[in-house]
Amino acid sequence: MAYEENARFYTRSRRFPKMIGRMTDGSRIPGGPYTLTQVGFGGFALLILLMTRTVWSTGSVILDLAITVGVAWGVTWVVGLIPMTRRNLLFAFVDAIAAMLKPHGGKYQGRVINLVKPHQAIGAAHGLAPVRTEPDDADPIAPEPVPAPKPAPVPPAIARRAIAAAPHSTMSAVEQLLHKAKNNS
Amino acid sequence: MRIPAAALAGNLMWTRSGTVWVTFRLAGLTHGYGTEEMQRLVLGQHQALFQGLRGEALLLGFCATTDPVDIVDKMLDGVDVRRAPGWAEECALTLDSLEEIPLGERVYFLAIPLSAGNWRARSRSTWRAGVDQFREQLALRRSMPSPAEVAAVLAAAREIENRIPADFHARPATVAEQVWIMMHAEHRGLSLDEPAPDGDEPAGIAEVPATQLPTAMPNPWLDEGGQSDLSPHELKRYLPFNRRYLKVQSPHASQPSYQVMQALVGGPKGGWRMLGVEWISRVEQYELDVDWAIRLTVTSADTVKRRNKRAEEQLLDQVDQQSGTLAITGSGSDLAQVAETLAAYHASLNASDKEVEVQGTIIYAVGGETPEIAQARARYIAADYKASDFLLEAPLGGQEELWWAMLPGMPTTRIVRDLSQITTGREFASGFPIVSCALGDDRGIRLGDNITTGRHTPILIDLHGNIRADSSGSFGVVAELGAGKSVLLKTVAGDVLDRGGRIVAIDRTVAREYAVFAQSFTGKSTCVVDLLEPEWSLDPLRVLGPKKGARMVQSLFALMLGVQTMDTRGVELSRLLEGDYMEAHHIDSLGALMKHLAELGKTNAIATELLHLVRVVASKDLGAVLFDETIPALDLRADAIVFTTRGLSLPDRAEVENEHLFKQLPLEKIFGRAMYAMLTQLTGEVCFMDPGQLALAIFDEAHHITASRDGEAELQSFFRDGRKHGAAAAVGSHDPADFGDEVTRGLIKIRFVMRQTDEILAKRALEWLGLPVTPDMVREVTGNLSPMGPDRQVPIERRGEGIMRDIRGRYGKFRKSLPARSDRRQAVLSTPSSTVEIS
Repeated sequence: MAYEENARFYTRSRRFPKMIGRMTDGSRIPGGPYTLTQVGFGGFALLILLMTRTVWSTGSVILDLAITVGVAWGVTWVVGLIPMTRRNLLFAFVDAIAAMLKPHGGKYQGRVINLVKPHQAIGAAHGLAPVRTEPDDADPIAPEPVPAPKPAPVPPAIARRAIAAAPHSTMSAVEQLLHKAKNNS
Repeated sequence: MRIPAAALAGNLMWTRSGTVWVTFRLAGLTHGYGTEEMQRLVLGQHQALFQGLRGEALLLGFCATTDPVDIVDKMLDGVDVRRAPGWAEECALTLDSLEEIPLGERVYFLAIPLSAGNWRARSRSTWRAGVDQFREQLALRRSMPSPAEVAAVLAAAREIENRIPADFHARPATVAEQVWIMMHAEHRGLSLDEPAPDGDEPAGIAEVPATQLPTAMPNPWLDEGGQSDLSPHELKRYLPFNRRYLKVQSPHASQPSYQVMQALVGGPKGGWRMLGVEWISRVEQYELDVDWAIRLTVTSADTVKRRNKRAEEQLLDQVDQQSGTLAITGSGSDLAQVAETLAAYHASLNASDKEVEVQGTIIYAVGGETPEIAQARARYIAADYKASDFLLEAPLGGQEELWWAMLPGMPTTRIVRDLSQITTGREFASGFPIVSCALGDDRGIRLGDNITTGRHTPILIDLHGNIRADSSGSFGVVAELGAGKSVLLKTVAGDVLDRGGRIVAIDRTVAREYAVFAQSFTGKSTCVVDLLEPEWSLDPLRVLGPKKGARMVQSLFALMLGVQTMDTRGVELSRLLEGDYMEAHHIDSLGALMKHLAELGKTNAIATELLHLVRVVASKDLGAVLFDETIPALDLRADAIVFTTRGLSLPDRAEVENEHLFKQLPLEKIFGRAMYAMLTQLTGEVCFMDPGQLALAIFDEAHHITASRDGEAELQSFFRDGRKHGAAAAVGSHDPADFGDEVTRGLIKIRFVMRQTDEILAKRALEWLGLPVTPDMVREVTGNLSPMGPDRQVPIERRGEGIMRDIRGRYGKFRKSLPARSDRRQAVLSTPSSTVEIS
């Protein structure tokens, strides 16, 4: 039988959990080895507790120190219980938090959409009544028709074209094009 | 994240980040069934592709829909519908039936960020990207790359194109295709997709300017976890664990698409076989649409060896750090496994100088109209992969990022790197990502559906096109009783006729199934010649005319009456059949010849002897088809001619080859042998008449023809010469040996094997097909082609399955489809056994 070649992933060869089990002098760390995540979280807990000592201090320095070390070690131990996954634990944690806080309105073009609640448009703005300075009949928008000589009767075909040409000024170029095509046909 | 495109030109995309991406469309390599050699070839091509890349790349395999109109267009190509109303009706009905089923193909794109060019070019594009961001804020026009810049980048892109192995037929993607990728990503799972553009638009950068604008890319609205489906005050909003999906609303869709992106996070620890475990193209087998994208980072072996060296140092340090833990279950034992993997990796990298490291993030995406549908689909795939020890994971909080990662132009993000798998180029190639199971020709008759993968696309075959392309249009079908062999032959024959071709069939069944089938040929001139109850005469003198007919009469009498050409009777017969003589004595039929013999007999003893010999047959019911002058002569120009030979028997080979047995042959067998020889000659005569028109000869149950050496020789000459005359033969039998000797079998280019439950016959069928006769393949033919259900019936949806080899030597599984017209469908199912065959 021919030799059967195998394929596999070598991801583990480079991504394996790094642990700290010894001090720089080579002696073992008690309770170790610890993962980097454990060390990070433990250290973080230690730092926080020491910085906030004034808030929770029992008064006794020895007792405070014991509590600090105890809690930090507890955090380290709890973090150690989290099963090791193939992914970077910290990133997975950050992503999970991010998933919890995803915006309610979604995103559009990279921006968070904030949906404004339906609301009534009332408030400080008031509709102002039009102020009239001149009488109605002097309104320049609607000048009084000047009596003009009665136009000669126009043949119906020309009249139609005139009506069709009337809205010219408001039409876009494409509309005009379509219009022209329609008229030509 | 936003749509990355800042400017598009041909297959180039200037992105917001300043990088230029170049996209190519790739064609899948043929890979369905095949020999190990073919598989190795596919592996080699993939390996060459990965080993030829450096840096980042994105490989996409998206499911594109196929427009039924396209398929029907191909069915109509080359046919004048005004002259073929039957075909037009068939096509119209096919269009309706295709509208109801999902059709599609997988399209492949390779997108690569260009790192080529000098520092000036690169800094200029980065500078412009920054300026563009600023201009956008001010609502100013975007700046476009200058023609010189485009030319420089195109030159770099061409270099990359040259590095892609030729078998992938890489061609620059068009702007339309780039927009299609974006649209497809937004409409995933909504059945709204347009077919992937063909790419026949003007190539290069001189395209329609509007499509070059990045605004052609539709901006999606994205909502990870479907937060907008929940009330803002709901506590559930903060519990995203069961909502690992992305809600995408495209501006072109009326409803949102819910999508689940899953990444491959682990494979079998012990590895998998290089050939046969196609872990990427596995998704082809599903009936649901799964898109995949592979984010690749390819690094040369030298760099990787340095990284591995560092890994080894770290490993040694870890051994020290973790010493003292439990030997078996402790973390220290994991290090032994890591060491083993590292050693194996190093060995694998050293296997070839060309070897590279591939860090690939394999993302599978499924979509649906609701989150439940999308999640159910995702679970299905994950479960199937898990069964083979490949683990898929939908990362929480990373759905949107992965969705963007599936699009060209997006930079690689942290989560993509985090989810990548490391292996060598050769081993990554074992996933066989870029494959296609296409079968058949690009136009023609709809033979059936390609069921090699989960996506059932129609297979078209173009017999006449193959002939015109200097190949052969002949095909053979091997199957056991009731597997659908006759249905296939009849359907193809009917379609050839409808498309303006001609058909001739020799039918030996008692039920006269082809005669019944011929009744469905409306609008075509059809002649059914029953040799025992003839409505048409086969008298060669009347059918072929005096010149050709005379020669055939001589051959016929030699076989039927033992009148040897060179003995005194033969010479006398030849004298009577001379052109001038026949004209002078008004001999224009066999009946007239008999009358003339009777007259001659008064003075000529040989003539009397001949007459008596002829009367042996002429006086029987068998002779009517030749000697009865009251029935009209067969018109060879008819569109369809069916010879039914029920009641005629043929001598077997031993009877012909042993003199003592030959002398005892009953009249039916002597007549049968002579008539079969004449029928095959006549068939050839009809089919070779007009090289410009396709003529198909159907020899169902071919063992009847090849039982005699004459028949076998005739069939072989048909296969050999048919192409030159625009003729093709279709043969069907239970065993390929029935098609004749090795040469004849080899001349049949298109081969179909349908269900064969007998192992020996299955092996022979596979051998003829050209596939390796492995236990797996034999099991496939005996047990997995139209298998019988518990009620002894083949389920309707599985009838008519088979394996085929097309004209290009590609293999795949097909399922015969039935004619769309109901009367034709009834006609092809006219045999008693086949009423349950397929529907």
